[in-house]
Amino acid sequence: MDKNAFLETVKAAQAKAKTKLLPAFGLADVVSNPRTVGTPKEAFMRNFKATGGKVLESAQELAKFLEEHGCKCGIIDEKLEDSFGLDYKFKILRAFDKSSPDEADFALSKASMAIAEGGMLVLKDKDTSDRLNTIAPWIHVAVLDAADIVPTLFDGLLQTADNPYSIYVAGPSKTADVEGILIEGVHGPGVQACYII
Amino acid sequence: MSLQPIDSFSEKLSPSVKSAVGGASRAGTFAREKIFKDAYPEAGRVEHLRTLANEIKSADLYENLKLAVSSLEANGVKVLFASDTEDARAQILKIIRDKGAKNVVKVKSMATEEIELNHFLQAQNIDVVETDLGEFIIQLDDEKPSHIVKPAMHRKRDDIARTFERCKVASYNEDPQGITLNARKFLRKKYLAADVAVSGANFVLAREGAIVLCTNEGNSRFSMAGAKTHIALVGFEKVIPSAKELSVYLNLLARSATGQHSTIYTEFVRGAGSSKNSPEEMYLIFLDNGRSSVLSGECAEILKCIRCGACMNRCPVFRLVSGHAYRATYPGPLGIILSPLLAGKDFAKFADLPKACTLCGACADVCPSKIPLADLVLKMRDYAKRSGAKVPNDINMKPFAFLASSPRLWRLGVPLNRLANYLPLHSLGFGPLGRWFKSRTLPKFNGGKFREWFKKNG
Repeated sequence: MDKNAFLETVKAAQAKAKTKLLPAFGLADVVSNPRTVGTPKEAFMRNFKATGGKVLESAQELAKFLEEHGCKCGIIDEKLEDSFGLDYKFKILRAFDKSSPDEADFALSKASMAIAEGGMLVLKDKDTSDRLNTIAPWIHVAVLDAADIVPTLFDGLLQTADNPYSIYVAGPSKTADVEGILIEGVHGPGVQACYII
Repeated sequence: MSLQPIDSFSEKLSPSVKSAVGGASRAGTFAREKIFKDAYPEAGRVEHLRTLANEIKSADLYENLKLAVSSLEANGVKVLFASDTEDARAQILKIIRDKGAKNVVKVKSMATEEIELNHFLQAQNIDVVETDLGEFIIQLDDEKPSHIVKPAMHRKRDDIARTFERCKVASYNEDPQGITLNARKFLRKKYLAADVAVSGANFVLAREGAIVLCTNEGNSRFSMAGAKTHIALVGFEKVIPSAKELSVYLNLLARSATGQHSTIYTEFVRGAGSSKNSPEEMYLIFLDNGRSSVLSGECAEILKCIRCGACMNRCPVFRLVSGHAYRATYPGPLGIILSPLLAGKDFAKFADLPKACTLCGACADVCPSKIPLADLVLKMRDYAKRSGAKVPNDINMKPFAFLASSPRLWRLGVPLNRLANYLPLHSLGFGPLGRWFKSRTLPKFNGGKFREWFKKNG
């Protein structure tokens, strides 16, 4: 259908409907107080862990965590400048190979920011060289600068929606489609970690 | 006189489906209640948020839509418009054909269910696969979703495992973890081989020119990492003013839908991607398909629905009959209002649906957009009556209306009710009255004394 004809139809319908002005509201109307208790870092860690996310706070802890999960090979996204010493312990790839999608056990990529109230990592395309790095391997570790944690979802939204593509990640991929039983790791990572530097 | 279709369906429903649907709906309602208490323990907070959600959706849709179109276009999105099912199907097919595409991955979308896109594309020899686990399961068995959020709610693990075996997805494994892993392995290849990803949208942000997708499984991001073309089919009522207003809905949607504080993934797509593996082109098709006539009518508030499914989880009728009883894309309290309206010329086919309601109003109590669902059901019943649609098992209320609108006749008639005390109504085994008395008892008639009382004391 033609654009103008479509818009005219909606316009005519809207003329018969009751409309109201947008209500005035702000942060206080939408924020969840229990979920924002403590510093943004504390709140982020608490809420991220509650959905099954794993928080790592040092390079040693990161390497140990990957070893404990039996990792042999991983991808470090090109937008990350540091390899955090992982290249001594694991086979490191710098790009995702579509012909062997299950080769990497883990991938590290950069988190653009995090939202404390939601326990959400924010991954923006501008900080990720390849979306597949963040979604295909079983373990995904987002590397987050502690200074990039915003306290509330309200603040976070005002800072993300202007980017070409961004995604909030609140823990490992989940489903409850089979008899309502919660399973982690459907199509995305079964283990979602955040390494806070 | 025959039963209403929804009752006949329910009579034949297997006990396994009944227990699956009843159990999952109740669990959904409890989870919703608990999570809202955790998030907003202060009195009145949730109510206030729901009021805001309702008021935001009372804003001028036309103005917001116009703004959305220009913002999306400025972001490089190709914006198209479809008046109905045929129009939407044809435009989607044209894009797919123009790309020479063969493989399509689908992200869960009720709008595409509405136009039955999968059947249509398959008939054109295009491989289209649903990637949400629940949708994938029902696609294999060529079923419609039985719930808008939990499409395979009516299925048990053993019959899902048999379906996977029969459709050569994997060998028999009924462990839910095993089922999920088998789907993971199977669908991975599909993402990487896909040419086109088709999605819906939970919201469209007018100012930012973005669509917002709320998902849990990661299938949406994976679809939009593999495919080179992204097509989003979106009902135009999904447009909201901006990211600020989204904060209201994101705080309501997942809590109402699945008892989560948020979905695992909240995706903001503002055009073709900017990563190595991401779509190079994005199309957004705004769908009318009856929505503009709903907007101009008495039930316009139903367009404020954000598709969380809380109303059906809470509905005593849905819990007993399951989603398929509603014979349409949208079941439950939402469906009995929306389905007949969207049916347009076929309204009469769905005119019985608004009767599948006890008017208990529980749906309206849990609706995140505070849609007065029970009021709308009454309006729909009235509309069905006025439109002259024939509904099976519809009792002719004209004699009653005649009696009730004449005080003199009413006065004469009231004492006759005493007869009911002497008639063997409970052993009446046939007809609508017989069915009525099968599960109900009538109290002894003891009325008709008001007028006497009023004469003395009034």
